[in-house]
Amino acid sequence: MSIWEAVRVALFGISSNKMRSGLTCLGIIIGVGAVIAMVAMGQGASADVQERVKGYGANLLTVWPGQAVTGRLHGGVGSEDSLKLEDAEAIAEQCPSIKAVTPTSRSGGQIKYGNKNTNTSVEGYSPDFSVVRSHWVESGRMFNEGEDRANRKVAVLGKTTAETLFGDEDPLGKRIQIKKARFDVIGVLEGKDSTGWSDPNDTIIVPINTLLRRIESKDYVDRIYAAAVSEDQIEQARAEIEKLLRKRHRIHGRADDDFNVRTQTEMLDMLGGTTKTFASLLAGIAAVSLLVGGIGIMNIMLVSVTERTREIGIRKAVGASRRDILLQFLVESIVLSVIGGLMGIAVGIVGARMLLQFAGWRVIVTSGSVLLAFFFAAAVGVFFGLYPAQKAAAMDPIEALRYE
Amino acid sequence: MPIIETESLTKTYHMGDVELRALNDVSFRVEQGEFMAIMGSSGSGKSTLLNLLGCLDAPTSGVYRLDNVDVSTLGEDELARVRNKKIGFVFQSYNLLARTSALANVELPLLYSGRGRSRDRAIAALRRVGLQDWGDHLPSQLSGGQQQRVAIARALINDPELLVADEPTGNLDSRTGEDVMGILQSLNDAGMTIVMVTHEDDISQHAKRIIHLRDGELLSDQLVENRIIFGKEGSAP
Repeated sequence: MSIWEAVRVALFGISSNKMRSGLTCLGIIIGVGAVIAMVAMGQGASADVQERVKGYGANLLTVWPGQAVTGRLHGGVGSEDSLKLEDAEAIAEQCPSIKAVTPTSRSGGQIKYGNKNTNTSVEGYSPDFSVVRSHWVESGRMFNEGEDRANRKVAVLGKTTAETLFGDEDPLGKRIQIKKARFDVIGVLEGKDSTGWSDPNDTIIVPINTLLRRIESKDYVDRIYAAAVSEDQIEQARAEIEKLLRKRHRIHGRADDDFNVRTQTEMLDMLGGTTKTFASLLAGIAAVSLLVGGIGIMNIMLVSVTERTREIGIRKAVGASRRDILLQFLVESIVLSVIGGLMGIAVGIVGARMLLQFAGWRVIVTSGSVLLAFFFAAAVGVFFGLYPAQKAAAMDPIEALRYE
Repeated sequence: MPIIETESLTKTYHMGDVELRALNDVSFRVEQGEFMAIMGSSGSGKSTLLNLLGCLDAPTSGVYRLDNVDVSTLGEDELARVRNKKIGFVFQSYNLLARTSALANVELPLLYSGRGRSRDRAIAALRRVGLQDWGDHLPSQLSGGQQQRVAIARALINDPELLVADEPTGNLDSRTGEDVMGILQSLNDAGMTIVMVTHEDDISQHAKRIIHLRDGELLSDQLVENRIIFGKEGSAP
């Protein structure tokens, strides 16, 4: 029997029980659709992270407290209090490849203005914040060196925070309450594109000295951001920072650093790894549903083979070989899964669009994921169709003809 | 020239520890153009014999030569090819594919012969059984006699050497059964060798030769003396 004849027989078999074929396809449709939509979501998220990290500038270095990752042992990054304000000042003064530095520390809590309040993060920075993080003041002004040194209670609001607390009112010159202290609002930051799970505009920036002494009362910072003079001086800048901090922290010889310098490329790898895990988790769950769809195909094909025992007997009596029968049922399950796969592609693309439309998630449908899902579906058809088809092919014609 | 030649054909089945000898040492020849009826009570081995002659099954021992080819040692797929090219089957319950037109049913053996579908050949085969205008009907739209005639047309489409009929009139009333016997007789007149299993005496009287089986052994083998000829006055019961 030619392959086209087999396809014709298979299509006839499928169309003679449309309801059942449709339900069988549904399993594959959902599976393929889920794979495509989930992969689109994962790739959207990973593109997001990349852009966000790149948005901070390619020449950004981040200094974390704590040990570097050595081999397989994770030295508890970020858990130590080894970075001080003076370290940041020293980097600014003594590293020629660095053009701007800001230490940062984070607090948060209830923020009040009049009868309105919000709960957001309060971040301390030096006046170099804008240069280092490429985030500029839109109205009003950034605090200056003198205000930072004098622990002045001034605040620059993120756009979202300003809107939450002040609505249409002009926030400049107003007083807000952060924890127990009152702060003067002197500026509002420009809006940044929200590119992920947290809103970069929902924040309050205060001088780092003020944060450490008036809000948190601690003497160490969470991390230090430094901008290299140019992108190709990043490695040079990193070496300078490492040498300087080792000297300042009195780390000699082969002892491990109590800090850790990362470039944006490394940050990208690190965060990219997280989103990759997230994306493959999603794709894995979707693949499981495709697998379940495949089991549905096997189930239906087994029922179909039993129901059509007599047909198999007749075909064998008039000369169908094992291979002919195998081909007929295998092609039938492949056709089912291919039809389901094609419809699943449509469902997946529409589903991804809806995620974008209604949930606002960024999605990227690639032809690679579509092809992958489709061929996976076809492979599921082959894999789960093989056993029922073999069962059909192995039937004894005499027994099959006697079957009622 | 013999179409069928069997030597000590034996078939045993194992049911648990019990060995059941369904067919024991059966030897006979059927010449080209013969019309032979196989008779016997149920359990006599006539169905087993027919399955062997129809190449649906292989004997436990003994030799079966069909058209001078020893088919008793062939494997499953080779037997399928022999069934396709050399044997036409007619069953008691017609065994047509439901939801498939008469024409497509007749074409079915062509699918497995490597020739591909041929509407012309199928119509020609239907014409031989007088149903050339019924090709587009489904089996459910045909009477029992018509269905059996479609089944005969299907059996003829690959120009077989041998027609094997298993109680071809078993599901039909006597009048329609008579019609079907008439078709078989006319095919036989045209040179087709036919082997038919039946348990009805008057059906067997349409054949030219009758063999009787009992307990898997050949009991008698005789020519029919007063053969019933279809359409001949006074011959119908």
